[in-house]
Amino acid sequence: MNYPVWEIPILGGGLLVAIIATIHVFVAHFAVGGGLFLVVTEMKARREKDQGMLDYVQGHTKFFLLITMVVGALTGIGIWLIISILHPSGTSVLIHTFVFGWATEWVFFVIEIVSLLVYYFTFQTMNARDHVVVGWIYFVAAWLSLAVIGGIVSFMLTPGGWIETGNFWHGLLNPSYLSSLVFRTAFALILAGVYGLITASSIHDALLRQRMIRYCVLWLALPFMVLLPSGYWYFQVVPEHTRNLIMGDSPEMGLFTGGFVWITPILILAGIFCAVRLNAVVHKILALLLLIVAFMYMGSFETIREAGRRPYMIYGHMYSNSILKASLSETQQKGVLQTAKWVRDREIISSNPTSAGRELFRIVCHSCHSMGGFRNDIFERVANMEADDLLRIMEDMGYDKGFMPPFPGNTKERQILAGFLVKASQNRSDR
Amino acid sequence: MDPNQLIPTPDVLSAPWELFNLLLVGTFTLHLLAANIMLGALFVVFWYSIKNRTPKIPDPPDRLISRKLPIAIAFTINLGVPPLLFLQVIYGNFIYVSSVLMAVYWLSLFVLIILAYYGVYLFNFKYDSLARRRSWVMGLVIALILVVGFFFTNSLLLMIDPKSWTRYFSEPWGRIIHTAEPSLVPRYLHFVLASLATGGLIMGLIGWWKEKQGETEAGETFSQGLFFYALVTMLQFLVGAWYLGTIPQGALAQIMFEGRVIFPIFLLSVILGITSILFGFSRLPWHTTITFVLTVLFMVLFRYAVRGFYLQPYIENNRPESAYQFSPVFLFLIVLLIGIASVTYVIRLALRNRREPS
Repeated sequence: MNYPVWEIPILGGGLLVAIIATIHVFVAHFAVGGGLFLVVTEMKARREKDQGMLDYVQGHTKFFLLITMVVGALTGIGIWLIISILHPSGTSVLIHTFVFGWATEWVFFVIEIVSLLVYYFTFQTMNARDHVVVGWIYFVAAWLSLAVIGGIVSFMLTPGGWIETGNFWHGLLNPSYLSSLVFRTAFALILAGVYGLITASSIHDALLRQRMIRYCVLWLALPFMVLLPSGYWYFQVVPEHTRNLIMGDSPEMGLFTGGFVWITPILILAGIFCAVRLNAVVHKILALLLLIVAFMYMGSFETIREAGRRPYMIYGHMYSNSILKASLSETQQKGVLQTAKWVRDREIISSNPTSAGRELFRIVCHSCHSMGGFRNDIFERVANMEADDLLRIMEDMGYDKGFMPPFPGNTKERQILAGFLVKASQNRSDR
Repeated sequence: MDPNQLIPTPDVLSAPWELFNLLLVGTFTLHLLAANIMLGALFVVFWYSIKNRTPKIPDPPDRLISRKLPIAIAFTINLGVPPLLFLQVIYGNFIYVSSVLMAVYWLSLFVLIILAYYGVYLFNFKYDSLARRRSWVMGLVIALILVVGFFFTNSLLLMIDPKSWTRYFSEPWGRIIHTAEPSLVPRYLHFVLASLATGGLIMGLIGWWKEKQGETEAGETFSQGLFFYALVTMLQFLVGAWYLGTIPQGALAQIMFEGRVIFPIFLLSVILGITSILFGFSRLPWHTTITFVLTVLFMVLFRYAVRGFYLQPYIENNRPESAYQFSPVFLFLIVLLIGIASVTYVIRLALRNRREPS
């Protein structure tokens, strides 16, 4: 309502966010768990005077640096860029509410960069004690970074007392903060094991390879003892409406909820299978497959979390189309075209139903629906529908269709939008 | 259409506007210096990689400098985060709009930087096997970074010109480049030339350091680097004049003389720039460096005055409300102190161990 809407009919904004966000969290959690993996494994290698293991840690550090410092850091900026384009109003709330939270997180990011570069470049020259200290400094900074960002991410689903007070601490230390932090920490440790398998399976020495693979499998499997109960805890503290969406009220959610449930045993069992003595090539293939499975696992979780917020962008405060809950009734009364800032056709006249309909679609629907695109295609949804069917759906939005925001416009706008969608859908099928 | 109607309502400020402005100017100066150093170093590496296609020594200058490039890129990116954050706090309702209007390019930024980043690692790790293709890799990295710089310039110009925002209604696909703005090219060139000059300065400093270590032939690099710096900075004055010429006459006079501080700031930046040129021609490396850094700082301050002037009529009608909360500010300051201590400690460990390898 406050900002222009980027029109990307085919791709749809949601898909872009999902791709960038999943890649980012998959690497960012590795940046936390992998940091602990590096320093603990280095300590173990030095304690046991195991040069082979120490060489492995050094090689893994290079891999870790190349992945986390480049892809991890920049996809983090990528998320910031994409949400500021697709949800400028929501991003603005997050930035203004937590500006000093972000600034604090940036300080941890600086410590991470310096300590990781020093850890990598001085692997052979620094004395053991100091090197381990640098490794620990990296891990603590990385985990604290997660602790701050985790608060802001969980805030969007459970803003808690912030809704009334607008207080920074009420928002950051929100009802799902602790459970999500424990859950994400466990996830980070699992990913340390998964990524560890990638480099461990490439070790030439067969005995060392087997030993390191078994070691990585422990990192992969043991954190499930924390992940599963904390996941249950997390599930219990989210709003009831979100739980219902996850359990099947949302038509889109089933695939991801099912995926998350089924991948859990697959990841554990496939990980344990990796510990069996196998051919080097088979180990490499298995490690790669596990990486893909873990990526799907993370993707399922993030999609469930994101979709669980529906119909909100910030639960109970701002709808996914950036309309504030508090201003909904005013918008419904005056109409979207009269209240939104970025509108050309403020009045609906006989000559402009198509352009007015398109503007309404852009403001009200485009944040979730593409037009003939890959995800949540509006044409697919409205195929073979008449305007009356669509008007009934608009009535149900926010009620029977609780995963969609209530329709924010007035009666005339409903009719214009319904007419536009039916016509656009017919034109498309005629082509 | 009245552009005032398009200005989004700003969100509530949690600390005084002046504090955010101070943080913005301070961190942006650091970012700009880091970006100049990074791009300057890329130019230097590129030049050496062309000059010495088949190096006769094991560690030629392009290889030596390229080892530091990932660090330079990491810090440029890292130092870019706070100014973007504080910019979004005080000018969020302008910068978000410009981001949407040029969404495709804005979103491509992180992909372009990833490619450039990996290009630098490729140059570094595969130096020998790349052989003559090294200069192509570095050329591509520079091209990517130049494109990134151009998109940022475009975004910052779109945000201060709400009159141009109405283009959105005919082009809502996020592909708007503000070609109608006459200052687009000189502003962009100003940044590129500053980076080229920094490249010369880096060369000069390396030559100076090597000469001090006893490599007499490095004296030539020292002189050439500083001479190049001075020459490019002279060119910078022409581009600067071009940029000033693109600001409407009445507006320029208002910017310069309405407040008490803007003209002195501008004058100081010009004097410092000229002084740095003279120091450069006089082979005084540290004098040149210090006056260059100060020139950048004062130029940034002048740029903010220009931005403030352009946005003033729009901000007046859209002043953000404020509800101060100071405990998060203290959290940040405490963590910042801990961060400075931690970074200092880690660097000291690194330096100590460099002197006493185990």
